[in-house]
Amino acid sequence: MTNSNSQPATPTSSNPTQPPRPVRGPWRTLFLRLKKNRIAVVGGWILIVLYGLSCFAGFLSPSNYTDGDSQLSLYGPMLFGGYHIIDAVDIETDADGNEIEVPRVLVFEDEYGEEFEEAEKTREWRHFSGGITFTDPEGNFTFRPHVYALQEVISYDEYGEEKYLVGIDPDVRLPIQFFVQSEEEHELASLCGWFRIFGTTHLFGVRAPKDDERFTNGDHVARVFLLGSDKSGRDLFTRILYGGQISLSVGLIGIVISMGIGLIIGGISGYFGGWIDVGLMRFTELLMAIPGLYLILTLRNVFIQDSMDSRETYLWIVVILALAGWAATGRVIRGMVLSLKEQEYALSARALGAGHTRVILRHILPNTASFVIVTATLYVPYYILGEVALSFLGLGITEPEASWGLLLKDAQSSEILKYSPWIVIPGLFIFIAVLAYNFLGDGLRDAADPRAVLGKKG
Amino acid sequence: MWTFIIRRLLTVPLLLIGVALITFLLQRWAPGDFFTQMEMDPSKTTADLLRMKADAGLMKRVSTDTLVELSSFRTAGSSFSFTEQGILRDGQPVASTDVRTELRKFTVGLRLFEMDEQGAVYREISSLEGFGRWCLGALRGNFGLSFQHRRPVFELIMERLWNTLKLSLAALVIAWGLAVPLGVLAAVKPGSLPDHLCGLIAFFGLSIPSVFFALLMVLFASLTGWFPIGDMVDVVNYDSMSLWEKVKNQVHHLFLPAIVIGTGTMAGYMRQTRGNMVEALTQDYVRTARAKGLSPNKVLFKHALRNAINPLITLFGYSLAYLLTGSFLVEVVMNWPGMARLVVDAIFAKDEPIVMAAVMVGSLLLVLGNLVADLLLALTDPRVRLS
Repeated sequence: MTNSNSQPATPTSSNPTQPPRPVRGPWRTLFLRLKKNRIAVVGGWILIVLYGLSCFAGFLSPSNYTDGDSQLSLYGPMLFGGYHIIDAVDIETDADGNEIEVPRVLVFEDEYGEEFEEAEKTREWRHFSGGITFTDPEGNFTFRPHVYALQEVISYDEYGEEKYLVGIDPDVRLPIQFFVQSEEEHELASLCGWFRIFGTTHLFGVRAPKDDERFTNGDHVARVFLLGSDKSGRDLFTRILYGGQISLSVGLIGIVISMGIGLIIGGISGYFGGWIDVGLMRFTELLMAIPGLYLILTLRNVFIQDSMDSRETYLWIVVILALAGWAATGRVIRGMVLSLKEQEYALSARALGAGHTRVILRHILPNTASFVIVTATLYVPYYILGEVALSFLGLGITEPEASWGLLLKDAQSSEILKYSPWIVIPGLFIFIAVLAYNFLGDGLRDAADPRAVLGKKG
Repeated sequence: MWTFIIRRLLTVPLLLIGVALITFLLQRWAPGDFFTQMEMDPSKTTADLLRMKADAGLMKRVSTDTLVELSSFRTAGSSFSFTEQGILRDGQPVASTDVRTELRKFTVGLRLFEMDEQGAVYREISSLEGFGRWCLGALRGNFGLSFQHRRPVFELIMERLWNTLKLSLAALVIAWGLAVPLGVLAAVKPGSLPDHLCGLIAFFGLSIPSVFFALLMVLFASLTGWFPIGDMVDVVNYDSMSLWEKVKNQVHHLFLPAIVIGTGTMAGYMRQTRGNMVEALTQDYVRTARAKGLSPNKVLFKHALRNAINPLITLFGYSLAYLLTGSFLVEVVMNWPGMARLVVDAIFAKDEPIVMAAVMVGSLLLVLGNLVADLLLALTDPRVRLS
């Protein structure tokens, strides 16, 4: 099949001055047809960007993914604004019927019985103010983005209970620096968490000024939370990038394993037929009769123990998803093999003395390739969503590791969700990844279908 | 046709037994069981624990006769044997309290035995034996008692099953009610604005993870306050409501989860509808009908749609198969008191009877749904012959 690339083309044109057009191989044709589909190309690029982001998570993120500070829990996304600490006011109507703002003042007694007043403070989220700013510490416009330093203010509520408010200090702006060196070594780049390269560089970040005692004594904190922070005060943007390493690679590895099992079982079943076929196919029917999520959850109980470390858990999740998902593809491949083995080229290969293994591997399975690739692309989302479901239910990846499903788990509390809606941003990434795979898969399917008219759907 | 139905129906019990066996074995292979946690609990004596395990069908009390038949065995560095009178260690009679730690757990052959403080010995029930017992019980409609809730599993499942079905059926109505009109609309003029919009909706619906969508809806509900979050009814006031208010309240609670599930499934059906309609509209009979001067609506609904609907009917059958499990994650996120919560909790706690029964009900619906899909196809399409 792929050999046709190297074979000399037979000239079809009667004009001898024009060189004959080279014959395109099937993969080249597929690629060219795919390139004509704009949506599929967009999907492909989105995926490249997403995988790139997660591969270079350590370098691109401003902090370490386990660096948390419970004081900074659930701070809002700095891209969209910031928390301002203001005096709490009550709206009252005065004698003329106008609404006026009355500062809320709390009266306390100190240890000598003297009463003193203190204004209650509260914090307010303001869009596009208090987040990333393009003014330098002197208040002039610069092209370098700055963030405000975060400070913790102690105030009292009406019952006299202390409350801690984390907000910006509007007077302290810190420049976002590029190629910041961190003190500890961390991962710079990796392939799905393997082949890691370590280093100390972050692409961007903020550094607390060393001589400023407000930072050294802990009153002020220099952090950049592009997309907010999570329940434990870790940077959500960083955790999303790292989470992509797990969530995105589960799909790829899972589909490879599952397609592998499907190809082997389907190939054997279709090629040999008879009792092997009957037995294997009844088994796939059995697997397919168990609702997918139930099967995944039951398998999870068998393979994953709480004592396992994150790497082991991750591997088992991939295996579980593949074990639960191979049956459908196995059946389709069996059907294809069943018809392919009767083709002339398969028969002639047998007649020439090729063994069963060679016929299956060299002649039959390569012809299922386009189906396999299209199906694989369309099925990757199910594996991504499978991992999301497991981790979301608390049965998959566990803290302190990050995966997109696990990050969404915090949003299960409607209280957190209501007051910190940025916590669902990881879901947006899942959505985009699945959408991109669907775009690409649809394009591939059209490109691989010789009857499809390109450029027009349906 | 009838032979096909009967043959397919005959395979259903076989499939179910297979599914039950796989699920049962998987659960037994999983390390630990529901009672593992309790073993750490100092307030539970071994006797209590073993009695509970025996009640749960995981262990069985062994009579003295059987113990005597075991003859001697070696464990913990000594050889033991049971006699009518008591226990012999290395040939010397000992009190059962003296060998409590040595004989707390011992194996003879491959079988695990456990002894409690009073000297009562229990043996482990093997996977296959346990499965046989479960099957016998299930045939009589007895799915056992839930370990957690100490109530018949059948009751528990039935309570939750109806809640889940209510949600799924509502979602089904939404999905089909939107899919067919939108699909037809998109197919009338391929490439037009409505077509592109429908395509966009389809991609959106197919791609949005139900967890994310459900969370967005919960966020929407909590920010606007227009919809209640969680539960099926207003738990506090429901009993004092009039019938009409009760219905309103239920629909109010049902709306958001049903929309989430409905949109997700709608997309696929809409694409299918559109595809079929586009194909049907290019057929000769449609051209003939148009040439005869029939009104466009008549051509569309009487000629094209009727022919395009066949594959949809099959799809409808398949959608029945996922009634029970399609709403799983949405139920968890939106706190719907359906099967999902029950099953997730049961899986966490290794509550075997509930998991078994839930998988059985899910599989039954799946298998029957697929059968219905095949039958519907044969009923509506005379070209399909089942044999």
